[in-house]
Amino acid sequence: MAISDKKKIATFIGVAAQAVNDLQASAFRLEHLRTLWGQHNPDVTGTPLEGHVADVSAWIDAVRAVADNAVANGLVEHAVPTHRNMALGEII
Amino acid sequence: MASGDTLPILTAHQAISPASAGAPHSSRNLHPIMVFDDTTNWSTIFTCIMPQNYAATTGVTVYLHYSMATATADTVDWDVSFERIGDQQLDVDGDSFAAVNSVDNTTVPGTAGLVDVVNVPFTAGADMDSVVKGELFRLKVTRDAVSDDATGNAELHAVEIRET
Repeated sequence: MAISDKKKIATFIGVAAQAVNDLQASAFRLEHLRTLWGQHNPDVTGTPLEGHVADVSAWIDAVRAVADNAVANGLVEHAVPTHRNMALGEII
Repeated sequence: MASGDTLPILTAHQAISPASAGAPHSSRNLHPIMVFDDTTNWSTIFTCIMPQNYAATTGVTVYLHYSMATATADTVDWDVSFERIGDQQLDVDGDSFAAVNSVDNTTVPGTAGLVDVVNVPFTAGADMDSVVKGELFRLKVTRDAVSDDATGNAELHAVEIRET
């Protein structure tokens, strides 16, 4: 008997929800990094960041927006806590 | 013994699970439970002695008291099997469980944590590995997770064996 499709779907949602959690943690870390940057306000002249500080800040905003969008939060909401995400085989 | 009378009562505290694919002990609001995965068939084993008042005529019915961790829909399947240890019947260095009997496609309760009771009948004799009164035996309970479709853990609270 094959594993039911419902469990395969639960595995997909569960693994994707873990990725969302990782993404949200990354967004939090990047925002914290930006806050520290603002406090130190280093001179970027002659560095790879010269002329790109605003771009990087906008990219951090984009990461936060993707991490918190409705699809991402929906995946987290529908993850089954006790499902061990094994119904699709080994996942890298 | 009359039909429907209780023989052994087994709770999660009494369960021992195999090292491989064994259902671990846990608790839910201080209720002891054994938890069963929803993708791999996990088992747990109870050891007890068949009471002297077992008539061995019509067999036994095994009642499983379980709840679901989170599922409120879909179905759960359980397999049960006996292993007679008896009086010089089995070298316990090896396993000798008889074929399983099952209760399948049970729609789980609509509330997670609500305890449901399902039953698995066994006829006297080979069906229950020929266990008779006064004999030591083991009872193995397995969630047939490969076949059922309820998502998330199943939780076994207790087992009652009744004369059929």
